[in-house]
Amino acid sequence: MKNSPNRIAATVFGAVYVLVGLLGFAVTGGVDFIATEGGLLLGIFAVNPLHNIAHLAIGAALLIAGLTNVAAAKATNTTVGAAYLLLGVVGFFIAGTAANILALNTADHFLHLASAIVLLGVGLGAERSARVATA
Amino acid sequence: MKALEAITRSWPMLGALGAGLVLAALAAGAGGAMRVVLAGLGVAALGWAGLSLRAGRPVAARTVLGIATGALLAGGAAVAAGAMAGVAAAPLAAASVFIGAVASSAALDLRRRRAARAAAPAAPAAGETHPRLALAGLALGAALVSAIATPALAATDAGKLAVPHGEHGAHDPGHAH
Repeated sequence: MKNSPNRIAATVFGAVYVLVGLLGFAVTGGVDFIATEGGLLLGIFAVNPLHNIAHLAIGAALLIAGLTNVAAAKATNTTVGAAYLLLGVVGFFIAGTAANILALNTADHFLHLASAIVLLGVGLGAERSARVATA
Repeated sequence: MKALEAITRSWPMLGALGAGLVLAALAAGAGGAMRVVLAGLGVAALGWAGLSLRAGRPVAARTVLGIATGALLAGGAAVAAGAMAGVAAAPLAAASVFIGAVASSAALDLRRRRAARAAAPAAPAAGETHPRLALAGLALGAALVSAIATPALAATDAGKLAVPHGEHGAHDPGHAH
């Protein structure tokens, strides 16, 4: 665990996202489930209940994978990183439309982008031998 | 020196991810042939980043150096000719920084490999021998790229629509139509 970048990244990001998901519910009391304008978490991150559930689900997946083994952490990091990168790109195309169910704002983009880069980078770039061993 | 290499090894690939995102966002607000060119470059940058991260080094360095240098020169010529007058300066500058970083890394990789031809067999990559340093470098590089890319993305036509969300009842230019 201590020497596996993939397990460290998955566990740390998983714990943070679970925490963010739980804290998000504290600020979205009166917000519609898929509102395009949500509450503000920590004063900067716009969230709505769907966003909170997405954070919880992704955080749980990362946390479980990080606590399981290197192969699971590597696969989950790569998948979540790629999905977040896609979310970052798609977010610009759906912002301002009725399809904007994720309440994206600039702070959210920073969070998603940094997460995507770290998770995709560690998933693809670290412990390449693990990929061969588990193929 | 190995420690520094472990920290910075992934940065060119992270820069390419930033370039890909900014170019894709610029493509979303562009039209005609410019949209196709920007989207093509963006997708190519994202793909190169993924392949290079997987390989642990900049792949196809000579080709990438040529394309990146050509894109920078063509972009500079288009700005000088006034063809980019409708495009915000911040995303263009950010994309140029990212593309410049990718071109530099490709040039350095070519020089390093030329010098290594006569040397002993390659040692394990620094990232493999310093896994925790590599992870710290990855996190630092991701923060740097995000710090440059996020405001640049927000300044694109598409990004301007995403800024005001989360403020109940407040002024919302994204929906002021």
